[in-house]
Amino acid sequence: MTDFVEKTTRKRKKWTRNDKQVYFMAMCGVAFLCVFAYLPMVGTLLAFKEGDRAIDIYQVLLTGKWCGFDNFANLLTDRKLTDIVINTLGLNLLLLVFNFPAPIIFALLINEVTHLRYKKGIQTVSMFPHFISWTIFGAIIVALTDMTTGIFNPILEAIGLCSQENPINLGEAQYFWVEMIIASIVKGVGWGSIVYMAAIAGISPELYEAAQIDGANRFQRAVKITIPMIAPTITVFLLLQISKLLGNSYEQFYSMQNAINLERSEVLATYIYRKGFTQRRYSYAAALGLCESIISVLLLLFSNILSKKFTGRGVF
Amino acid sequence: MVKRAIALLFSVCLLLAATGCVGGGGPGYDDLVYPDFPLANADSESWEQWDRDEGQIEIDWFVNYSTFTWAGADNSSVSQAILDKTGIKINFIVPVTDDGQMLNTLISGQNMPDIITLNRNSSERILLAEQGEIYAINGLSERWAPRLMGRIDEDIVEYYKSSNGLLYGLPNQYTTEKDLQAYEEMDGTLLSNGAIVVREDWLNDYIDYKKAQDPNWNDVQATSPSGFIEMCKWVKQNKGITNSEPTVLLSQFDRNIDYGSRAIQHLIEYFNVAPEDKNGDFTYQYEQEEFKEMLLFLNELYREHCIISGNLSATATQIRQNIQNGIPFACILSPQDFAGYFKTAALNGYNYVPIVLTNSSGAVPQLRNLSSWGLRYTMVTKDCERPDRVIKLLDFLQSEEGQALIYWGVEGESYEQTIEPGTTQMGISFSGVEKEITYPYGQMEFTEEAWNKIQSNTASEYGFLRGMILLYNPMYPRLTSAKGNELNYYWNYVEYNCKAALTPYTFSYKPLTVQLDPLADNYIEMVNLETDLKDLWFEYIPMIISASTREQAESLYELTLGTARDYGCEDLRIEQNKSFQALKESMGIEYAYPPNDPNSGYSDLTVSGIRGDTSYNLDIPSNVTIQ
Repeated sequence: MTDFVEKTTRKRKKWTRNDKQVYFMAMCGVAFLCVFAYLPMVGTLLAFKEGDRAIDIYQVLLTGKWCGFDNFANLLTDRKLTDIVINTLGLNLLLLVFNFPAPIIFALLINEVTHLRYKKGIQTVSMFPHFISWTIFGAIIVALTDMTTGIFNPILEAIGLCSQENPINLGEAQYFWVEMIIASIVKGVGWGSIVYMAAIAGISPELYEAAQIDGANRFQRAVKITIPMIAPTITVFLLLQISKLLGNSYEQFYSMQNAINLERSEVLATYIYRKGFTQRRYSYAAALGLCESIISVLLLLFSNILSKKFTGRGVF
Repeated sequence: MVKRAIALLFSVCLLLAATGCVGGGGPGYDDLVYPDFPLANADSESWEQWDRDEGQIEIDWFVNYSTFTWAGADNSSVSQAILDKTGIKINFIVPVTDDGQMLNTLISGQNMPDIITLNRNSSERILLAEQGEIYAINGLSERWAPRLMGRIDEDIVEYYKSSNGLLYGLPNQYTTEKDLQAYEEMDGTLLSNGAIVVREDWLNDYIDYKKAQDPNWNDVQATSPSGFIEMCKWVKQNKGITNSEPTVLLSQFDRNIDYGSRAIQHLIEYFNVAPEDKNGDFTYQYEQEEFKEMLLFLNELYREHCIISGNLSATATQIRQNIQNGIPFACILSPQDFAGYFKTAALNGYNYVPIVLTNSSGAVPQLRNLSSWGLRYTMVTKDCERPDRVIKLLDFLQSEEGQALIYWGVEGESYEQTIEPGTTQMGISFSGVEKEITYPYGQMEFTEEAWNKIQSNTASEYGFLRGMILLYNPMYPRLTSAKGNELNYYWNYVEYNCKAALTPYTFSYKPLTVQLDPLADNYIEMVNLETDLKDLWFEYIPMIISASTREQAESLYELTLGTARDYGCEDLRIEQNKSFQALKESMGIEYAYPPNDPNSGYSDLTVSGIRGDTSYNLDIPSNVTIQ
C-alpha cells in the first residue's frame, strides 16, 4: 500500500499549456543569464594568459601562452592600484550612506502625498533623469558646473560660498565625490523608489487604520508600520548594494572625469575600462576584473551571514 | 539532472584548458590568402578595369576619429564621381569617442570592416599588420592596382614598411621631400603647427602703456617668460578679466593627446626642450631643465590667476566658447583646430595674432612646421570581401586625378585646369616674384560659379575642399593653387594669420618623429611602458601647474620624474634612440634638431620683436566674403 502511494505521488506531473508558457518565459531569463553572464566568464581565462595587446582574443583564449599568476603579481606592483581601490571603496561607502536611504525616504514621503495628480507628477519628474544616459547626464553637469560659463558659480557667489576673487571650480578633485553623490541621487532617486513604493503598496491599509484609531500620527505610522513592513526589501537591496562596493558603472565616472580630478575620480571600473578597452591590456584588465568579482562575492557572502545573524533575513 | 549539468560544465572547462595548453600564435602575414579575382594590368588605370556588369558594391570604412565628417559623403559631385569611377559606395563608421574603445572592440571581436583608418602613431597599425589581419598594399597593388606602388613616395614606403618589407597602409597629411622642394621653388612656406596667439587690441594697449612709461622699452622684453607673465598680469588687471575667466587659455587636456595637451606640446617647442642632445642621441624631454622651466612658468601663471583651474578641466567645447567670446588674452593651442571660433572672435572685433616667446635664456623658439610623415593611416582588412575593388578605390584616391577630385571637385563643374601637370614656364611665385616655375601637378582655378558658392557657403553640393580627407596629400592644393595655400574662406585667412608671422621659427620635425621597432623582442613591453609614462605625466602635469607654491610645483615635478625613472623611462629612451638613429641614417642626416645642425640656419635667427615677422601675413582679398 505504502509503495503504491509513493509511486503515485512520484509520478511525473504532466505539463499543462500554462506550465509550458511559464517555463518558456523563465528560460528566456536563463538564456539571457547564460549568454551575458556565464558565457563571458570564459574570458576570465585571459587573466592567466599572455593576452595583452593581442589582436585576436579568441586565439589567445584557445591557444595563448599560459602565464600562471603573473598578471595578478603585476597588480600588486601597480603603484596606482592602492589609490584606485581607496577611491572605489570610499566613494561607494559614501554612496551607500547617502544614496541608499534616499529612495527609501523619497518613497516614504511620496506615500504621504494624498493629492493623486501631484503625487504622479512628482514621481514622473523624479524618474526622468534615469532615462538619460550617464554620458549625457555627465555632459550636462560638466556644462552647468563650468567655472566661467556655468550657472553654479553665480549661485554659489550669491549665497556667499565663493567670490569673484576666489571662484570655485567644481571640476576639481576635492569636489568630485560630493558632485557624484548629488548627481547619483538626482539621477537615481525616482527610479530607485519604485520598488519601495511597490512594497509600501502591499502593506495592509488595516494596519494604518488601526494605528490611526490608536492615535498614531503620520510620522509614527511611517516609522512603526511602513519601515518595518518594507524591511525585507530594504535588507535585500542593502546586501546587493554591499556586494557592489567595488563595482560601479564606468560611464558614470568616465563622463565626469577630467585632468584635474583623476586623483579622486579614477575608480576600478574606469581603470579596468581604460586598461582593457583603450589600451588593450586584456589580460591585466581580466585579472583586475576577476579580483574585483571575487571580492564582491565575498562581500555579499559576509554581509549575508551578518544579516542573517542580526536580522534573520538574507538574500539566500 | 544537476549532476549532468556539473559534468557538462567540467567537460567544457577541461576542453578549454586542454586547448589552452596547445600554445602557438596567430597567423602571420604569410598566411593571408588573396582571393581569386581577375588580375589587372598596368596598361591602364586600375579603376578603369573593373567589371561594370557586377554593378556597384557597398563597403564599410571605419575611421577611428570621432570628429571625422564629410558632409558630401552621400550626395555630392565628389561622392558621385567616386561611385562612377570605382563602383564603390562608401559607408563611413565613426566612433563616439577618441579613446580607441570602438576600434579595439572591432579588433578583439574579429569583426573588422573593409577599410580602417587609424592614427599613424598607434601600435595597432603595426600589430594588425604583423599578425596577418591586414592585406599588404604591395600584394593588392601587384594583383589589382599595378600602378599604385609607383604613386607612393619611396620615403613614405621606407618609413611605414613592416618587418617583412611590405607596406600595409596609406597615410594622409604627409609631406614628401619632392613636394616640399617644388613648393620651396615656388617660394611657398609651411606654417607652424601650433602658436601662442594674443588679442591684438590688448597687446597694442600693453605696448603703448610700456612705451609711455619708458620710451626705450622694446617689445622683445615681453618675449621672455617673465616679460610674458608681466604682460598677462597687466592685461588681467586693466581689462577686467575676473579670476573665473582665463587670461591665458591652454588647449584642452586629454589623455589621448601627446603630452596631454597641445598647449604643452607647443610650449615645449617655444621653450626649446631639446629632443636630441649634442651627441645626436634622443633625449627624454621630460627630464630637460627647459621642460621644468616651462612647467614652472605655467605654475606661476596659475598662481597669478592668469591660468584658471577651470581651464585644466575644460573640454574642447568649453575652450571654443572662451575663444569665440574673446575672453582670454592669450591662447596656447593649434589655431587650425579652432579656426571657426577665431573667425567668430574676429567678426566680433577680437582679432588674435601670434607672438614669440622664448625660454629664460632667450633661445630662439623651435616650432614644428606642418611637414609630417602623416596623420592617419588607412588599411584594408582581411575581412574585406572585395579587396580587388577596394584597392582600386584607394588607387584612385591616391592618384592625381583622385587628389584633384577631393580638393577641386569635378573638372569643368567646379574647377578648370589652367596649367598642365609637369609644365615649366615663367610665372609669379607665391611671394610675387616673376620666375621660371615648374608646376608638378599643374595649376587649377575654381569656376566662377563654384567660387561664388564657396563665398556664400552654399558649395556643399560639390563635396570638395578636402571633405574626404582620408587619403589627402596636403601639398596638392598648395602646389596646384595660385595662392599657394588653401585660402578660400575668410576663416582660412584668419587661421593663416594666426601663425604666419612665426614662419621664420618653424622647422621640420620629421626626423624627430620616432616609432618603436616592432621587431624588438620587448616591443609590447615598450609600448606598455610608453603608455604608462604618458599616463603618469598626464596625471601630474595639471597638478604641477596648479600647485599652490613654486616649491610645491618643483617637488611635484621631481616626484613625477623620479616615478618615471622608476618606471624605466631610460629603457624607453634607449629603444627610441635606436629607432631615431636608424631613421636619421635612412634620411642621410647626422643631426635632426636644428640647433645641433650647423647647416640648419638656426644660428642666424634672432628674435627682433614680439610679433614675429609680420611680412608673412596676408591681406584678405576683396573677392573673399567676410563672414
